[in-house]
Amino acid sequence: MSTRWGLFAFFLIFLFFPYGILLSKFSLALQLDVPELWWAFKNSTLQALMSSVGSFFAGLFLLLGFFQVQRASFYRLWMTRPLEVLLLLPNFLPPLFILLVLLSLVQPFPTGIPGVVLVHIMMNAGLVALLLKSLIENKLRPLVEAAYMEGSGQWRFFQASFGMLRRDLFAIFLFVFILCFCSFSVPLIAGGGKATTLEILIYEKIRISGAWGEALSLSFIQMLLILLLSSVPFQARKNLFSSQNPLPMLKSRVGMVLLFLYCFGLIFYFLSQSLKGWLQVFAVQGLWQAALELLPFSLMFGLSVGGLVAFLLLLTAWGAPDEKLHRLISGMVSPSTALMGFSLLFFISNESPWVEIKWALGFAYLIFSTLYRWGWDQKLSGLRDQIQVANLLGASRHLIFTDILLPQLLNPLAWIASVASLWALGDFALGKIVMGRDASLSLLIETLMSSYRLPAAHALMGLLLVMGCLCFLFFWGIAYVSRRALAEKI
Amino acid sequence: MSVVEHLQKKYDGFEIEIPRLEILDEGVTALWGSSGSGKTSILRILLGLENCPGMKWRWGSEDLAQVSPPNRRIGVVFQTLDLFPHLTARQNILFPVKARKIPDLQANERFEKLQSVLRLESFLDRRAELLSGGEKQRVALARALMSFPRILFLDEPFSALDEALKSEARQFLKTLLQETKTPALLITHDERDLEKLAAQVVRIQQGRVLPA
Repeated sequence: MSTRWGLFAFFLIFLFFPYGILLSKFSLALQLDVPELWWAFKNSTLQALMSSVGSFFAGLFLLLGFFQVQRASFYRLWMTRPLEVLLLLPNFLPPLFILLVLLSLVQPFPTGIPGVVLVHIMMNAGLVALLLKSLIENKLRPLVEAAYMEGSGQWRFFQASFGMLRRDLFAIFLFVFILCFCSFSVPLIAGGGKATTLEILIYEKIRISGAWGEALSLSFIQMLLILLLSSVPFQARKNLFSSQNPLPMLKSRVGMVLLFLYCFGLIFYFLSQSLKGWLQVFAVQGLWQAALELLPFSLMFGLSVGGLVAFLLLLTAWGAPDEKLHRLISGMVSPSTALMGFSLLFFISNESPWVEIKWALGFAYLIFSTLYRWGWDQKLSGLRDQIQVANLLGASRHLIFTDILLPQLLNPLAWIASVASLWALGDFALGKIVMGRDASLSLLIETLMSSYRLPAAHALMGLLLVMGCLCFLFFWGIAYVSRRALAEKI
Repeated sequence: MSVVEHLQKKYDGFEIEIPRLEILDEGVTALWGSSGSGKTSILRILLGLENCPGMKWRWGSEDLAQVSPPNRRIGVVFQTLDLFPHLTARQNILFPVKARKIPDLQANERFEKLQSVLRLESFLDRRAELLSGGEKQRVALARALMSFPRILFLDEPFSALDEALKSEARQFLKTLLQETKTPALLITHDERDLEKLAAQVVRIQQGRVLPA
């Protein structure tokens, strides 16, 4: 069997193993409660639609604010990257962070679809702003400059150029729609039982009714729907960072205010709450002790998930370019968290000493395809021509991997592994199913949120973010050392 | 001379249909045609990057169409040059030595020759991404010839250069091919390439060879 087929078989088994485990124990339920399914489907679609439309408009205003800032007298070119990172932060931070801040900031919190939509917009607006920025700078820069010279206004320009960008805009919309459609942790907390989505219905079918067959069938339906959506042949461009000169004409003062609120407001609010929260942490008996005891495991868990995701991504690089493998991983857009969690219960028993590894494996599985599509796929396809030339020059797969691919992939790999660690540190949804106890700091934070000890939850979230920074340093350190070692070897 | 037979492939709305193509085993054979005539597709098929069942490529006693792309030992310079940006010019040029495990003595001799003909000394230790267009082009040529290819394929290799650099590059190429005794297949739409370099011209239009 060739390496490519071996890799394909590995990923096929890896991506379908939760389904395999459950199918070996339960059979699919052929008779589903159609009105219930329709209701959940409607909720999923409605919240995803409203979230993506909201994220789109919020992202557009943030972008115009970004352009306005770029024109300010205090602005320097070096500020572009930090501002872009701040815009992306809500998307990189664990959903638990945004949930926590919004639950304490917006009082009373509108649980149900409005709450879910609000959280999704906060999470995705910055990402959409950067996707739109990349699109405008790459496709429209000459047109913007020409339109500006002709004296056009920005809204008139947007109207005129909409036709040209239709496909790209739809691709961005679809990208966000799918992210929101599959979301589990946000509707679980912000839905408050009023916005049962397909993903939540699967969770409830198992947790409350014990209807495994129905859950499996629902999960397959969801998977097919997502597969259908993701097979649309438009791909959002994901080269998010650029340091180009500001564009003329495009600007908005309202957008600039929104931008500052979005980038700094959340952080300042979080920091102020976090500082106050420490008093509560020390006031509640045993809480600080419990948090301290959970720190080492949480850190190990974050690092393990980051390492696992990095390993899986490197495997895809080993096989690159491989269109079949790319399609397989991209097609598995977002597997059901609930289904994955419950299948893991059967995979390794909870009494086993391997239970923590089970959680890490499961979480890496859940975020792997998302992170693969988060620019890794485009990075690999950008190296396709170099691989082809190296191959024609007679290089073995091993030589291509070590001398050509690895040195160019270490930075993005460290970046993705750090994000994976951060997400893992903040996981509570899968952990809640798999562990059944407060085994990590994030689960403790979720328990504090459920008991309305929000200031203490903020304080511990601060601790969790510090651990995220440690993971970040760890992976960048490894990348730095590896790069040096590879440079010496070559 | 090597002979390619039954080079036929259908694309969406386009077809390549070449019953017989002769490629010189000395000097430059040029495939000349306008943009979209199918030149690059022919090159990719000959390299083995695209399937073409039924094709035969007789080279001495061998049928190269049955050999895997790396084992065809064809040196290639694509239009995009595709240097490895993280490596220095020297590392790029020596990459085939590592890939094909060429003995040191042979590799050093070849490297010295390429270095002197292409005048590479001044930028050998600069990273490829920092080289100018002309320098990149020379490095790509050196890298392709470092592995002692049986033939060199050049896909519009001068297209990214300005006029002054183009004529310099043509001269480099001519000297280099003579010095290394390597035949070449040059894909071009520039008539000046034909005047300066080609020993034989094959004119391509809509995927077919025009009569001489």
